[in-house]
Amino acid sequence: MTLWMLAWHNIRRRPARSALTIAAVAIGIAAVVALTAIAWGFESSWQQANDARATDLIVTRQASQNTMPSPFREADVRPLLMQQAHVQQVAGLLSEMLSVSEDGPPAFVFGWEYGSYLWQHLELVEGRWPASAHEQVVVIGTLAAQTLHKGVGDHVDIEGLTFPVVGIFRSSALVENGALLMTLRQMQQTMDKPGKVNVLNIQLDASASETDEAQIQQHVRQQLHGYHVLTSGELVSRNAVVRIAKAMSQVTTLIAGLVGALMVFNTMLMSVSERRREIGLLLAVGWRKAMVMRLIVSESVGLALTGGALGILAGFVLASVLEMLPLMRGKIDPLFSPWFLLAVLGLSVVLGMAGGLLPALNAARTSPSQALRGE
Amino acid sequence: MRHDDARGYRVNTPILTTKKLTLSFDEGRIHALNGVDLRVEEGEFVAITGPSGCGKSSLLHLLAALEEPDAGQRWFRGCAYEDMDDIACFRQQHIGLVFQAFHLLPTLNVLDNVLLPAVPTGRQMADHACDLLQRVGMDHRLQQYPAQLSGGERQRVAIARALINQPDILLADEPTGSLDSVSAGYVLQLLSELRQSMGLTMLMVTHDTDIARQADRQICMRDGRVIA
Ligand SMILES: Nc1ncnc2c1ncn2[C@@H]1O[C@H](COP(=O)(O)OP(=O)(O)OP(=O)(O)O)[C@@H](O)[C@H]1O
Ligand SMILES: [Mg+2]
Repeated sequence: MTLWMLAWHNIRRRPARSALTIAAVAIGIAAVVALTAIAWGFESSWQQANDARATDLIVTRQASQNTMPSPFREADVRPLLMQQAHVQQVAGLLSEMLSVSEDGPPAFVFGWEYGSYLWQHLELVEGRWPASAHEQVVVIGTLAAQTLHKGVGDHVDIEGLTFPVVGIFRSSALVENGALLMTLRQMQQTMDKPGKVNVLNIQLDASASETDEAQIQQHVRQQLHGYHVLTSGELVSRNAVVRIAKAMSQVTTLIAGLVGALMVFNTMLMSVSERRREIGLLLAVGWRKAMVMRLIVSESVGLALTGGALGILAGFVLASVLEMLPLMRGKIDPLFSPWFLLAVLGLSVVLGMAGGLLPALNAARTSPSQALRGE
Repeated sequence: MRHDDARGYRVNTPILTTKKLTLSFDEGRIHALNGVDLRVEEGEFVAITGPSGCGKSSLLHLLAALEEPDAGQRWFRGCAYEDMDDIACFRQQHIGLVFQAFHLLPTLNVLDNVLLPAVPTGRQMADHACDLLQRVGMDHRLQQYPAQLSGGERQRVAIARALINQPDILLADEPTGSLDSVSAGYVLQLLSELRQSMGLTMLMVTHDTDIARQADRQICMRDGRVIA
């Protein structure tokens, strides 16, 4: 017979009420787990894409915070970048989220400067690469091939133009696997934005140190007004969608925490008032007030922790389902780290304690004499 | 203060003493106790009788430190209650309580109910609990729940619970009040056997004059006072 056993008996004593409380906590925690995993996964898939491309610095327009930064004239910026020490290559990129089939979900379409280093990290699994900067063709990622049901020899319609699919590639970045890719020249024509890019990717030479990188950032910043020079990590964390996703997961965490704590609070308050006589008895047989409080808090933490554990499982399922939705496929990769799961269990413990604290204080104030006289 | 004679025995020190204990409810409108002076010797069996509402339960609650008096003093073996730095510890180590309404926890089986007062000690007391349950004749029902027991059986379990921490004083408030005469007789016999074999001091509130006559001494109360 231990305190925890007694707490567990008390939780099981009202199975329906305990189950409802556990379910409420579990639903909240599931939402927290799914949304947070998706927000982080979203960030990390963009990070992966930048890492895979071996891009060191990125130049975009200042105002832009979209997933796809707004386009600018490449010629305005490129010469200055090429003058900087350690700059090995500057590669233009124009991309857009576009609808590429009548019924399918929208997909990323990238236009990459022909012959630039960007192409080098891709692995061709079928067909061939575009033969020149002017060839009106696309290559598509393995995941895009699956979701669009297209293969080499098929055609895709993009903004009213028809593009033959000449190759299928694989990338280590999920975002790219789900995308369609053509040359920058073709993309500029298709989008009717000649000479424009929305990102300039800078690759530095191998001897460039972090101080060099910072120095280049500073130089460019002083000389180019209206532009950002960011490391790829900075670009991703400034991305509006990433920020919205993170903010949503934070707000969800806050709401789920509050609602969970309130549910636990309500349940424990009811439980304490029902068990007034028993609490009086515990005090009468020599339990300290602190021990009674530990019992009540153990019960509330037991409820919250059970809800938290179930919520983590449900969150896994929820995130996997969301990930499989046509709209989301290839754009996110939910991220579950052990630390994150531990933090969620920690959150459950905290909300259990928060919900149990006042009922525990209330229980400790019980007068054993009054309680034992009561009918 | 202890008075030890040459052989080391404690003599003349009562186990419980009270002086001018008063207790009121409803902001002084109801006087439950009006100056109770009491002296109980070690090992004594005292029966407390008196009409309903005369303050018997109130007195036991004050002695068990479940309640604070308005005025007056209480001593346990010469130590004033207000000087005790740990009242929970005092209850746990020295006081055993038996109630008319049993007060067993319905969610716990017989064995766990008996172990309840020992939970805060963290000690492994299951063997001792089984031993006590055997002495009250309930050792064959360890895994059953209070709802499965008769009133007399429940009271026997409650008695085992009161004894688990080896108290010095047993305070019993109408322990046979809810029982038929056969069960009541059994429970009383059990209490007197246990009291003798364990050297317990016992204060028992009862309405039954036959039971009261078996005590070493009877205390009669009326209107919050001891009258005999
Ligand atoms: N919580 C309370 N609030 C108000 N009055 C109370 C309270 N508890 C007890 N009393 C009053 O105190 C007086 C003494 O009560 P107590 O329970 O000690 O009597 P008793 O001798 O044990 O009676 P009984 O034989 O019926 O159990 C009674 O008048 C009772 O109404
Ligand atoms: Mg009474």
